[in-house]
Amino acid sequence: MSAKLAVLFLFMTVGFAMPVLLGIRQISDIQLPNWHTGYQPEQPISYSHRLHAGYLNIDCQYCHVGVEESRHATIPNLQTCMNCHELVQGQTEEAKKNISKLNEAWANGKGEGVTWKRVHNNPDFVYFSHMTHVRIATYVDDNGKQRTDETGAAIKGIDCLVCHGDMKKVGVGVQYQNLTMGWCLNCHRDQNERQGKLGMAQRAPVNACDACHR
Amino acid sequence: MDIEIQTKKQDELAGMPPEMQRELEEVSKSRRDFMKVTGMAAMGAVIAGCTAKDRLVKPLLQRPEGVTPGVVYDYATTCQGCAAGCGMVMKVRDGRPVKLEGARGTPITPLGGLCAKGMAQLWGLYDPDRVKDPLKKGGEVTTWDALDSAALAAVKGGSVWLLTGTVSGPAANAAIKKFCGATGARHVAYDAISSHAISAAHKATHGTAVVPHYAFDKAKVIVSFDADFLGTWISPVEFAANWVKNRDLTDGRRTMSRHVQFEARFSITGASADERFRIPNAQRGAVLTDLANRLAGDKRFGEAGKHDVEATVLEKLVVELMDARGSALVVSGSDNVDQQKLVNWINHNLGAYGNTIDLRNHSNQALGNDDSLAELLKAMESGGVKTLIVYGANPVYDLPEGAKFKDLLAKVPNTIAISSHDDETTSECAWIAADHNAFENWNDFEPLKGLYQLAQPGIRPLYRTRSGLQSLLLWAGDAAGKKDYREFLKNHWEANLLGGMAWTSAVELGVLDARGSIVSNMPVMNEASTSGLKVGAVDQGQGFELVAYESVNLGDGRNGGNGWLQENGDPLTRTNWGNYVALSPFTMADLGVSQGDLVSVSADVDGRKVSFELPAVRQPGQAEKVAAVALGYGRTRAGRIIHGRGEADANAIGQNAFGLLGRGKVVFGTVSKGSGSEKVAVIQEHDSQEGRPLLKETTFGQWLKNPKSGNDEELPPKDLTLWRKWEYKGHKWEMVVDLNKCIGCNACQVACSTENNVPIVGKQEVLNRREMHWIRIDVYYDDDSPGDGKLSNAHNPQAGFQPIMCQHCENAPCETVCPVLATIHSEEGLNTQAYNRCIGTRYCANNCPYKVRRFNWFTYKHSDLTMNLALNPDLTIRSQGVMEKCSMCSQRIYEGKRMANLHGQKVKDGSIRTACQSGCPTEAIVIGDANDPEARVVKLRQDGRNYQLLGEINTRPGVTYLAKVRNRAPKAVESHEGHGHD
Repeated sequence: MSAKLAVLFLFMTVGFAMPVLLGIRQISDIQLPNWHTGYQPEQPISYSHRLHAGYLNIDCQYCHVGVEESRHATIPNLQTCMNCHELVQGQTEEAKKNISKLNEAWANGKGEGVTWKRVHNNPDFVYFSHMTHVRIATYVDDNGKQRTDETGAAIKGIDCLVCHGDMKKVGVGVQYQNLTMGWCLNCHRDQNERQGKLGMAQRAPVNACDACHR
Repeated sequence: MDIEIQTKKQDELAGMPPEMQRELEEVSKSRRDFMKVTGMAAMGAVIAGCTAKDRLVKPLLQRPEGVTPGVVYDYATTCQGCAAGCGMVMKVRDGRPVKLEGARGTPITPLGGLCAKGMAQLWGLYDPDRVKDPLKKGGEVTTWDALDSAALAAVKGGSVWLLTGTVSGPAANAAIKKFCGATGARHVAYDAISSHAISAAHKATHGTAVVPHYAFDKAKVIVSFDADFLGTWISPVEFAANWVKNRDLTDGRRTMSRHVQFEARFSITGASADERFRIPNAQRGAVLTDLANRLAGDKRFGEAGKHDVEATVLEKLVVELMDARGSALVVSGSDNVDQQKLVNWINHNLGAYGNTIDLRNHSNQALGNDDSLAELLKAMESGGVKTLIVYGANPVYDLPEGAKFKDLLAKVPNTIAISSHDDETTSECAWIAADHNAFENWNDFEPLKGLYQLAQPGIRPLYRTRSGLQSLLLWAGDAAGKKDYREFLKNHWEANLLGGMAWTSAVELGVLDARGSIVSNMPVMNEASTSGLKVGAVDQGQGFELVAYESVNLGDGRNGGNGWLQENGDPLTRTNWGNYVALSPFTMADLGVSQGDLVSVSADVDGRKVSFELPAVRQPGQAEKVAAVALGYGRTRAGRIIHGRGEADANAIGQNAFGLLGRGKVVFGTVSKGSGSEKVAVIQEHDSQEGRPLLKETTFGQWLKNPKSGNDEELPPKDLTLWRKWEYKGHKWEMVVDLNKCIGCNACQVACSTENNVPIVGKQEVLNRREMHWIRIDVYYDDDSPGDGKLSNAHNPQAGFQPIMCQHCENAPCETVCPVLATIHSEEGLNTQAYNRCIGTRYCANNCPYKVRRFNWFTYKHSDLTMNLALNPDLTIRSQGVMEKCSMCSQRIYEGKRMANLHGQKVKDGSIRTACQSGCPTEAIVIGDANDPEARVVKLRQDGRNYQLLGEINTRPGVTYLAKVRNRAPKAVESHEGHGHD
């Protein structure tokens, strides 16, 4: 009996020790608690959404131009930053420091650019389209009301803050939702149910793996 | 591709038999992976709280105007895979072309689609072994300045010759003219597979040395003598689309053309013909003479020698041709000028000129002139060539006298190659002026007289290359040579062709059809030119007749280093990765060889000794005592799939058969059993249907009487199922494949592989039955004579093609056995495969009755990251241990739905097209929404010819087939009645 236990123990030890001994190739396989929710990596330039989207009230799509056209929301090209920062050089010491980094990366359109850290990291086998969700999808909120514009007319698309939180209150980019498949599907199911109640065609795919995995 | 990796693995376990090595390797590999995975999971539990590795993202400095990352943009261009000039659409994403498609509605591609070679052209762009810099002989990198000053000095020295392939573009020809004018150079164009006999014959009979344009859409009776016009001959994509127009039996059409084929080997055109007669090429003149004499009603073309075609067949054919006067067409792939003259006479007497044959808007797709080529060779021999510039051609490889050309090239003082690729000829030249790849370059074409087409770049040049035509202009001392070639092209078009049309709209359309503006007189036949024409004698020769033919996969060999094309099976023998000696089963028995046995072929062609050894492959239906060898193989310098295998020469794939081209004469030689054998990679080893109704077929006469003929069998009851009945509230995607339109050209297969990132596995893995194609084209020979039980043994069988992809069953056997629900039925009727859920039990593949599931035995990595640029970013790259299969291009379905939803519309039928569908030159494949009453698939499913493959096992597939129909003469129907599948 003890021999068997010893073998088992040996196996477990080896099992635990192997990755350490071999060196872990892909540490990103190891996750933060709750699937990276709250992941907020330090960026080369500590860009503040609170300042730009909140205080200055710049529309999300001024920078994230792909969101209505493409799968990717896109991280803005430096040209977008420089539209303002050619002139705006900052008032505080920290702002001046960050903007000087920006100027250096731009270097009159000949610089090296900025290598940002990606905040939302879906696995490679997930094909999520911003365009579908922001422009085409119908969204009914918890109160059973369809999204409306300022005039009260029903409009398509899901508000950015449903998935990304209120970026007007956050500094450097952060992961707000856990982005798991369960989270996706819950919303799809809820939407189909709510929209069904309103007598609308139910379009969010639920039993279709190939909607996201292909 | 992965060949490098695999060679390394082989080394590890060297000394053991390969099968055992592989098994051992698998075992050790999987155990290692298992340990890794368990270890990882344990680690995860222990050190939760570790920070995740950051993934980086770097945006551009400036966004190009009108380009959003992740969005696919279409650009019109022209395919440059051969000289046919098919209209092409480049799908460009994030600044790089990722997919090619035929442009629908251009005169050369009326139904869209391309051939297999065209579909695979992206390989050339991302080929890591391209010529990246201007080079000196031996691969030494030099500068453009050094090369230009050497070239300028050389062209000033006089006796300059420029050797090219077919150049049809008006601006391209203007540039060449400028070069020749300034340097006194002589321009020689040749085609590796020449149509010179056709233009020379028209010079004699019609006074104009052109290859005419053949209008297959107007032809009701087509007789082809060895012209593979659906597969390789002159302009196959156009011919196939026009040929199929008169054979389409959907939407209530009730007429069908007649197509009779005489040929020595078995071509896909012969397989699609209504009647096919096998004759050795040596008898071609005799049969032509017999036919012409019968048409003339006298013996004006002399006695026809003894041939194998029965008199009654020709008698009937003459009646049919005469009845179809004005809509009859006789074509021949013969390289004999006198035979082509006789073909012209026949066509003239059938009223074909002006109807099915157009000499006014003639073809410019084969401008090669064998006479000028002979002059060049003579001049090289006599030392009369001081400077030879070879532009976009590979004569050392693809001339029958290539070895001699190589020796002569060494004697030419100045040699310059303008090429984007390292090949057998560039490596012999002193300088290599690195050319852009076709997708980085501006160019123009005039495939038919008056039909102008543009090619535009889809990407900035990847390397330090320069347009070849710009190089020529520069060396001519022309000011245009200092600027990008686009300037010269634009100026030429604006000055000569556009006539007020905006340049940008010409670029957008890609095609400028001004055929109507060509108002020359129609050349008239001079009947005297054919008087006394005597081609009736059967060519006599010792031993075997040797036929070198163009294959649908590799063509003339310029794509010899293209993995997608190498991996394609030959449509009829289903063999890939190498050529072989195709022999009829009876000839093989006489020789005492069986499949894979090496046979040695040797011949004396015009004093040239040709000999090589290749494995024998059985080709039912080939003429006896004929050995057929595909051209295009045996490249010795063609990138890494050749060089990745070790030393250059020894590892060429197959043998170069260009030496067997006889230039107008039938070549005879010896074929004998060699020593030893070689494993031949065959994808489909069983070519008989064993009497089962898999590929259903009927005849036109029977179909007219009964639209369900050939498809009216009683099948066992089929409603017992374990599954609940599926309901489709939204869409229900279905596909219908019309076997009457499928010509077996392999284009869908390459289209699928490039769209869906299907890996290339190489010969060894094909031998291990691990090929990965998501769509395959099965071939079946009808067979009633005793063979060996698996293979057809008939003397003259007919063959039919059947594309097989995932059938998207409702009662899917694969779904029942998956232990982890990785493959499930979607709410829109698709059988989906979630790779990330798959654990690789392979139960599904074992339970699939159609054998369409493919397992990743390895992670098929590209050995160079440049090749990754050709990958489609809309799809997962599958890794080792994962099952994959056709998804009915679900990425395209979702994109189509997205676009419809965006505009608040219903998905319009026809707006979603799968890769195979848009690759097909004959519209044989249709997909659509079965819940849309207007959809074309719904109509096709109600067609009498519609059937489910293996419907009796109640899989209820979403893919269905339409039975094939052959328009056979009534007598042939009777004699074949006992055969076939019904």
